[in-house]
Amino acid sequence: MYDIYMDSFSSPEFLKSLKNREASAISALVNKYNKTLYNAAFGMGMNSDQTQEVVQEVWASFFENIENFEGRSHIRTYLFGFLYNKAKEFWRTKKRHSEHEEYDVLVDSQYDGSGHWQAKPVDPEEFAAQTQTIGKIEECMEGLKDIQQKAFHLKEVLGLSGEEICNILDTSHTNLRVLIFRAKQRLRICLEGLVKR
Amino acid sequence: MKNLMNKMMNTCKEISIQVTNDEDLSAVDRLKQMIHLMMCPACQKFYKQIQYLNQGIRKIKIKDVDVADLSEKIINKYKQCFFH
Repeated sequence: MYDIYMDSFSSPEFLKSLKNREASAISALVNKYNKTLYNAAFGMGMNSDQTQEVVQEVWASFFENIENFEGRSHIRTYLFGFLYNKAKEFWRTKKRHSEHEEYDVLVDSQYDGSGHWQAKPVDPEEFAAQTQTIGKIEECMEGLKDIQQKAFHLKEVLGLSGEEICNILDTSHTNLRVLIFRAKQRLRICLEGLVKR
Repeated sequence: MKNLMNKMMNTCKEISIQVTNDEDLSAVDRLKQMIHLMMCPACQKFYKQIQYLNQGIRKIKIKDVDVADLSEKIINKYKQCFFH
């Protein structure tokens, strides 16, 4: 990952122009982060109208509070903090079905009771052909459980950090670790199913 | 002896979790993982499969959303208006 802590957004001059609401500073910041913000909000499972609304609310809170921002953290962190609050609200209103599940029968069936392989992985070279065929992984992604799909998308496709994802999905690092494991294991099983035996 | 080995070794499942998460491991855990992989052909295959899977995942394109209108709306809303 590139270092997000070293850029022009960190300079006191930039912060000053931002607080003065200078169009150039605002454009630079919005154009830089709006897409990431949108994708992250969308990754929570909202439709596009809800996402647009949340993104606007995040910017509204950001500009309401910008006077209090002293530049101690990176501005991206500060901005994303408002998204996390929105995420928390969003998950509170959602039913708990999307919460972490204790079991994933398909994934668990790969191992025996003592954690050893029950269904041994096929030859990697045969497997490789499936992973390199365009669209196969996306096809298999459909078979992920809702929350696994979200975690997978945020981490592997959008490349957000573990910290950010835990905040967005309102879950712990331990859960996220299991979600990513299950997502990739499910993808692997699905792709293996496509290998001719 | 077998008991001791079991204590020192992670299960295949734990190795799977580490490998799929591509975790930064401590020196001890890294060593444990290496030893496990050396001794366990199934996990070796799994490890290689996940490397291939990761290569494939990297090729997935982010669906390009057009936020241009939204961005413009936001910029116009918050920029200082000099000409009242």
